[in-house]
Amino acid sequence: MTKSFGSRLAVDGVGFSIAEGEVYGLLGPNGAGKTTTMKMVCGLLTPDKGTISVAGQQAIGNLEVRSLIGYVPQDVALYPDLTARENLEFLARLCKLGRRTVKARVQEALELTELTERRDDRLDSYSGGMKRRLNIAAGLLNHPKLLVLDEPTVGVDPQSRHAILERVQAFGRDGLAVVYTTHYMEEAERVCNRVGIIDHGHLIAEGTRRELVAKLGEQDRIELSATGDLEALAAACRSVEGVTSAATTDNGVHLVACEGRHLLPAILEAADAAGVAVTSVDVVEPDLEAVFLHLTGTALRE
Amino acid sequence: MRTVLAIARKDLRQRIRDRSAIVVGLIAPVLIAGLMSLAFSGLNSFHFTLGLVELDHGPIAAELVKALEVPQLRQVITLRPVRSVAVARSEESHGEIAAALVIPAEFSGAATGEHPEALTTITSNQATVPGEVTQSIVSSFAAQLNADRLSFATALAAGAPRSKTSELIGLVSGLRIPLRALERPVGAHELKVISYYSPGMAIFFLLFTIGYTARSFFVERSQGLIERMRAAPVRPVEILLGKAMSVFVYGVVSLVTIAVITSAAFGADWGARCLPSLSAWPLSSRSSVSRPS
Repeated sequence: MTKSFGSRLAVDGVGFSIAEGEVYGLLGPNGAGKTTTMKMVCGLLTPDKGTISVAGQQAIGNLEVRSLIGYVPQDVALYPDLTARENLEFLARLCKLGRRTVKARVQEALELTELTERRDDRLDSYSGGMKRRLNIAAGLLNHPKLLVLDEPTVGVDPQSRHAILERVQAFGRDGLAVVYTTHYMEEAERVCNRVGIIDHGHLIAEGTRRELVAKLGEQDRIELSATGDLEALAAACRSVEGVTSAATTDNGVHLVACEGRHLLPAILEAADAAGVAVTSVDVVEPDLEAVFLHLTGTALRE
Repeated sequence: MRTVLAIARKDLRQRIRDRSAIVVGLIAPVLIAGLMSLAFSGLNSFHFTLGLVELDHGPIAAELVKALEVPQLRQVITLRPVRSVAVARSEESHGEIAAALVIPAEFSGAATGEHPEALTTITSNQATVPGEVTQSIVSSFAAQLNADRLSFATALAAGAPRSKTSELIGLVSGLRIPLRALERPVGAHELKVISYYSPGMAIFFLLFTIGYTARSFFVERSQGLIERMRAAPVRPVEILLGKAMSVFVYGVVSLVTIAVITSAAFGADWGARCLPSLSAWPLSSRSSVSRPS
């Protein structure tokens, strides 16, 4: 898929396939093109080039295919002045379901979100976590083949976040094909069977966590917490032989380096020479963030 | 069509729950129309007392008085006999009468002669309408009289014998001017202020209702709700139709309710055909949407 907005190329040749029962993570920083990609998959945007196929059916411009897709937008898209039941009934009716089916699916969604007792309360009386749960349940009303979750945990408290991630894993186990976009590396590692790393509209790598980490070879990720000129620290670290990439974060610098533990004295010496005080050093096992850093030269949460 | 109905039903449900929409769609128009009606209730009718100085007491003067006493004018004019022109001027200046009509002595006799007497209207330059109304009635009477005079003179000129004068007068007095411009006084069919303000306010506030829907559409769009609808197998035109239907139904219900309340409580006249038509709209729209496509 390729999509431009005016002269800005938002998505450039992104392509992937997802099997039934697979949770596919689209990992990338804000503005990488994740949401645009998801909107094209859901038929909300038409790609300038490319094709989309869902359950063997051509999806672009095909209204019927939307019945096979469940879309959970990034923000809670429900009516605050309607009750949970009314919201779900309305959205179920839009899926062209019969009256009995609507009733059954709404009941099912309420049970799934454990909101049956509060079904007749207006949504504006719900907590943020409850709204999020209902937002996800609304995407399941049509029993989709493909569930698209666009950063469903943004702004969610840790408890609700945990519950949502558990639920997403369960969707995969239940045989649903799930696309999960996030800029949280931990979430992608936890719930996704496969991950696509997207940056500046390009899909730069794709595979299981093991496959992606293998791209790093025998490299480690080193997290330096420091105070002072972090850009100078990053530049100093890059000059150390064996450091393959270095990027600043909010309170330090993240490095990818071969034989990381053996390089620590040289790195600390370089930091000292740059006039930056390093307050802590942590050598961690290679993870998706290290992969992202290695591939793009920038930290994921930059 | 079920999708359109689902969207319309959802919008109406939201509208009913929004108290400000009830105020704008129902309470405010009725309240303002009622207040306007009360404020301008004094303008609902026009009536004045006309002083009549009848110095002739002849048959034609009697006809003129009869013309002033016709039932259609009773709601507008109250005749009050006055002894003389001087008394009439005095009463007019004291506000006891709004205008006066003077029928001079020998008016009936002179009417059939060569030099007819003039009728005089006494009116104030402060309130000219009563004088103009009187002048209009008298002019109409004079036009008929002149037509009768012309007919009589024509008959004589054509050789009718003067010995048959009374027969000719009888014949001529039965004739009416065949074509004339009529100005019907407003008082004959009273237009109540509430009848003007009720539909006015209802339509004025209907514009707010339409504006509210347009605003809610853009709010829904900014909140991602329209996008969520579009992610379902729904065409954009169905979303627009659903929203338009909700405005239509709400507007008609609002208009009918306002019409019924203002008619029952304030006596507003919405027109004999208007109310049944308004009531029929929702039914006709419902039947048209429930037809299988």
